[in-house]
Amino acid sequence: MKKIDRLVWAGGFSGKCFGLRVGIRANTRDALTKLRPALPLGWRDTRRPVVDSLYSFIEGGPESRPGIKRFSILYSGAARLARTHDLTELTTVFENDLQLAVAEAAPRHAFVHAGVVSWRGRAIVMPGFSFSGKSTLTAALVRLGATYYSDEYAVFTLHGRVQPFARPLHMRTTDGQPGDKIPVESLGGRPGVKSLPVGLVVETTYRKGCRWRPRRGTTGHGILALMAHAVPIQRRPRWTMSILSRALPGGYHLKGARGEADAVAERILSKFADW
Amino acid sequence: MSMPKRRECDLVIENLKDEILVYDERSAKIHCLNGGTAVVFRHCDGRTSISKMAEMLCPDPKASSEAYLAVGLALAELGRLDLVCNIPDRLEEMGRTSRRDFALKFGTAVGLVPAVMSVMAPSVAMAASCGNENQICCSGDTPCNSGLGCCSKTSSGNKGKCVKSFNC
Repeated sequence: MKKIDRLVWAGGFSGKCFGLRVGIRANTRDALTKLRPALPLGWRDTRRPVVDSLYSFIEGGPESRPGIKRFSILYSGAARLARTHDLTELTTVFENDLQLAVAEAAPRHAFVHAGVVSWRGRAIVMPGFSFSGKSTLTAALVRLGATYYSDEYAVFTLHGRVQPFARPLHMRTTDGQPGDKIPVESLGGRPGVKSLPVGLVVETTYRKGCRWRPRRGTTGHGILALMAHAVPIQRRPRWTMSILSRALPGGYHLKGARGEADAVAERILSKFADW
Repeated sequence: MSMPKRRECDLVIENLKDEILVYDERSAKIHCLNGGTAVVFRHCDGRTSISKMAEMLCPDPKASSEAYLAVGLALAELGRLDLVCNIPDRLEEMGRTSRRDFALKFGTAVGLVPAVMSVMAPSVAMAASCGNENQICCSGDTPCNSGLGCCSKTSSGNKGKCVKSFNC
């Protein structure tokens, strides 16, 4: 880290995101502005010099000698995250790493990898692994009138309520490739603004041609489903468990593979979300 | 004679209304103990006998044999998961009775059937979207989207990262 500190830094800024203090410094002022669009939801600039996590960005480019181009390099602490000529690649790495760092270390919020919508004052949380169809089901629920909270993280407060993390929906193409980032307004929906209690946990994975016949689980099964996708569970198990165990006091849990999202979304709202 | 005793260290226990959630820091597994198993687990303090546990599980003397078998099944399961030690051998043998057999034999006492549901606690990388370029590699046979390769050299820590393979 001392070697990185010794380099010449033209400037930097610090901020807070879900309570995590993050600092970013760069070798040129121009480089700092290039990282700004990649800052995560909930970012707030601060003036404090003390941070929990520090990113260092060295912007490359052509050198005075002909034919030589310096790499752009990104560090998180002392660990090198990227060394590339492609600035888009570097900002993507920065965006992903910072979002994950916030999800793992946020001191007052527990992040669970899940899609979330709200319906009649309660949250429907859909935890799942990548490629399980969370964003598709979230989008289908939003099209039916549910309020959009997130397609990536259910963010739980210390009281076990879900807070919005309404980034644009990241939909994949049919072959699993990354597709466009879709603003929720283009689906006819709107993002949520306030925290809500959980009404329903839906644990489901897309399986082609499958008919959704969910089994109703206990409160413990619902919390277990949330914990199986909780980002900080290995690092802070006691803390994460105590938050998530407050998340489902009156809600319940459904589990089962599903087919097409539109039909499932309609059944969830008409049959199961009847609070 | 030593009585069943739950493990003291590396366990995080959260009591719910009827169930218990247990996080095992050694195996990074989370277990959800159902009502019957939770009663047994709570009384694995090294002092409570198995017959006493059976009585607590089901105070009705007519169902004492069912309750005893349920305690045996629960203890065998808890022992298998390394949550409880000092389990008598005869109970471990009893654990070979399946829950299905138990339910068939004692249909009326089906509420006593011990059940433990377990999941692996995810690493940070597992609990995030994966597979796109510059994102963390997914687990399984196809860790990255097509045209990309999973490269552990370009990423911090042990997380592999999906990159265009010539960049790795």
